[in-house]
Amino acid sequence: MASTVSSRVSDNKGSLSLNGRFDFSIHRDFRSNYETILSAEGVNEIDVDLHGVDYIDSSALGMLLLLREKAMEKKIQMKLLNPKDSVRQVLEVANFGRLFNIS
Amino acid sequence: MQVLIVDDAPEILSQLSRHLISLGHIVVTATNGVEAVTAYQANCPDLIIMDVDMPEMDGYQAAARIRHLDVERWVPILFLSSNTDDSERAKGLEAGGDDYLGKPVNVFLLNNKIMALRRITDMQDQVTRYARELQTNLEHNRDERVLARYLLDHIIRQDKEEPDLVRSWVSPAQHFSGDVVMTARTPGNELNVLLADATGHGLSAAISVIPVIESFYSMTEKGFTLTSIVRELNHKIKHLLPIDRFVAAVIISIDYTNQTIRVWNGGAPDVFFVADSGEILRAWPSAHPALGILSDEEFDNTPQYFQWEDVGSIFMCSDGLPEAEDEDKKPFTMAQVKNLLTRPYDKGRFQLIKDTLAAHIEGVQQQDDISLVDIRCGEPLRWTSLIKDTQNIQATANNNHSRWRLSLSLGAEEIKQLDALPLIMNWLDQLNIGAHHRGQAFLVLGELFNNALDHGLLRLDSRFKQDPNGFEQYINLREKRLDALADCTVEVELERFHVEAQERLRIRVQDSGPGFDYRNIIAKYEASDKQFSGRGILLVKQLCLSLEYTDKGNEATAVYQLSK
Repeated sequence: MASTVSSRVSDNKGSLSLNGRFDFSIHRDFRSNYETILSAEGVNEIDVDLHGVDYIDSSALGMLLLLREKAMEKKIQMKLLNPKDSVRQVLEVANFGRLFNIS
Repeated sequence: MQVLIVDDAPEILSQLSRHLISLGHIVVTATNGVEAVTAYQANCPDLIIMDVDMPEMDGYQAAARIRHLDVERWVPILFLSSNTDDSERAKGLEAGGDDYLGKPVNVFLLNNKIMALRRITDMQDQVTRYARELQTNLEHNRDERVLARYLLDHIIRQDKEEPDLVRSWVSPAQHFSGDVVMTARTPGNELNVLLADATGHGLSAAISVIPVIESFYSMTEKGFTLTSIVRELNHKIKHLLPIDRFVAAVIISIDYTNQTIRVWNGGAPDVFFVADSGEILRAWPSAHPALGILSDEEFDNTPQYFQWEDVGSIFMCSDGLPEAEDEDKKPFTMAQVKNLLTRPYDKGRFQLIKDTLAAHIEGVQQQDDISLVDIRCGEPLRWTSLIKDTQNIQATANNNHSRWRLSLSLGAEEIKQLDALPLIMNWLDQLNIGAHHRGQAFLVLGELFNNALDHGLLRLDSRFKQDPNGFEQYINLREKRLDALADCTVEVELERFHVEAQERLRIRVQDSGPGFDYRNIIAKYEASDKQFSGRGILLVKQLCLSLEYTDKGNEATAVYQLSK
C-alpha cells in the first residue's frame, strides 16, 4: 500500500493527515504539504493526524522534529493526534512526549 | 558533421559532395565497400551515405562489416539505390542501415533525412555521455565507499574491545552501519559501553555517529563520569547534525569493584539485566529523547542505577531488532526478545536471539541496522591479582628523582559543577607518572575524593548501600544533598617525593565537614567481604603503603609506591 499525505487549512488551523508507512519515502510529500500549511495566512495551530499510520521509523521522527522547529519559528502550536498503539510505543521510546503535545 | 559518401559513380559522388559541403559538412569519399570500411576506420565519420550496388564489396556487406567493427559507437547509414521496392529496403535495414533513399537523389528529401538522422545521433550521443557519466559516478562512489568503510573500521578501535566481557553483533542494512558498539576503560578500570544508533542507515547514518566515537573514547580514558560524557555527546551532535538527524544511544558504566551499573538510555529499546537463571532483574527503559535533540539547557543527563548481587549480564539492542519485519511485515517485537532472554545463560542465549532473528527475516531485505550487545556482570573483581601486579612493577630506570606538589581547593560550586578527577588526572599525565600508576592513582584519588564528598560533606550513611535496593535511595539522597551544598571545601594534594631510592606519591584529601569515624568503618569492612560498599576503600588500603585518617576523620592521606 502506498503511503499518502494530505493537508487542509480551515480557519487558523492546518491539518496534516498521514496514511500507511511513515518513513523516508514520503519525505517530499510531507514537506510540500507542511510548507503549504506554514505559508497559509493566519495559521496558529498545526495538527499531524497519525491515525492512518501503521509504521513509523526514525527518519519520520526526524521529519517531525524539523516541522516542530519550523512551527516554533512561526509561533505555531503543533500537535500529534491519534497514533495507533504501535506508533505510540515508538514515540514513547523516543520520549517525544517531552517535545510534542500527543493526544 | 563529417559525412562519408560512398558511390562508384564519380558524378554522383561529386554532386553529393558539393551539396553537403555547401550545407557546411566535412566530406570524405570512397568508391566501393572496401574503401568505405577503410575510410570509416580512418575518419570516424558522423554519418555514412552509401550506394548499394558497387564493385568489390557492395553497400550491404560494407554496412555489416562496419557494424561488426564498431559495436560501441553507432553511426547512421543512409543507403542509396535505384531499386526502392519494399524487399530491397528491408534488406538494407537488416544489413545495419538506418534509412533508404531512392536514386536519382531528391535533394529536399536528402536534407530532411540527414536532419532526422542527426537528431537521432544527437540523442544517441547524449545517452552515451550519460552512460559514461553514470559509470564514472559508480566507480567514484565505489572508491568513496571503500575509503569510508576503511575509515569507519579504523575509527572504532578494536584494541579496546573486551572479548571476555562484551559480546556484540552488528548487522548493517547497507554497506555501512549507523549502529556502533564501543567499549573503553576509565583510568579507574570502570568499563564504559556505548551503543549508538543514528537516524536512518547507510553512509549518512554512519557519518552521523563519527562525532560520538572519538569523544566517547577520549573522555572515558580521561576519567570523565558518565554524566559528563553523555552531556558532551549530546552537545556535539546537536551542534554538528541538522535538526532531523539524531543518535539514539545507551551508555553504560560498570564498576566491577562495587558491582554497580549506571545506565543512560535515550531513545533506545529497553535494556535488561538478566540473571544467569534467566530472570530479568531489572529493565531500563528509554528515559530521555535521543542525543542531539535537546539543547544544553533542556538536556537531562541523569542516569539510572543498579547494583547487582546475582551474577548475570546486561542485554541491549538497537530498534532494528524489535522492528525487524518478516515476509508478512510482522515485527520481531520486544516481547519476543524478552521471552528469549528468559533462557538460562549458558544455553547460548545470545546465539538463540541471532538464530531466531535470522529465521524471522529470511527472504526479506533488512530495513534497518540491527545490533545486539551482551555485557557480563560476574563475581566481584578479584583485586588481589591487581595488587600483585603492583608489587612486580620494576623500578623505573630514571634516577633523577622528580619532585613536585600539586594542591587544589574546591568550593561548593566547583564541587557541583566540575568533574574534578579528570582535571587532576590531566595534570598527572603531564607529570608523567606512567601508564600503570596512572590507573592506580586514579582509583586511590577517586575513592578518597568520593568518600570526602559523600560521607564527609554530604553526610550520607554508607550502610544504605549495603542493601541492593537501598542503592538507588542512596543515589537520590546524594543528588538532593549535593544540590543544597554550600559553604564547604574539598582540598586535594598530590606530592611526589622520595625516601632514599624509593619514589612515592602522597595523596591527601581533606574536606571541611565535621569528620567521620573511618576507623570503625574500615574495621567493619575488613570483618566481612560480603559488604556491598567499602570495597573501594579496602582496595585503596591494599594498593597503598599506608592509608591514614587524621584530624577529626576528615583528612585522609594515602602513600603510594611509584618505584622500589
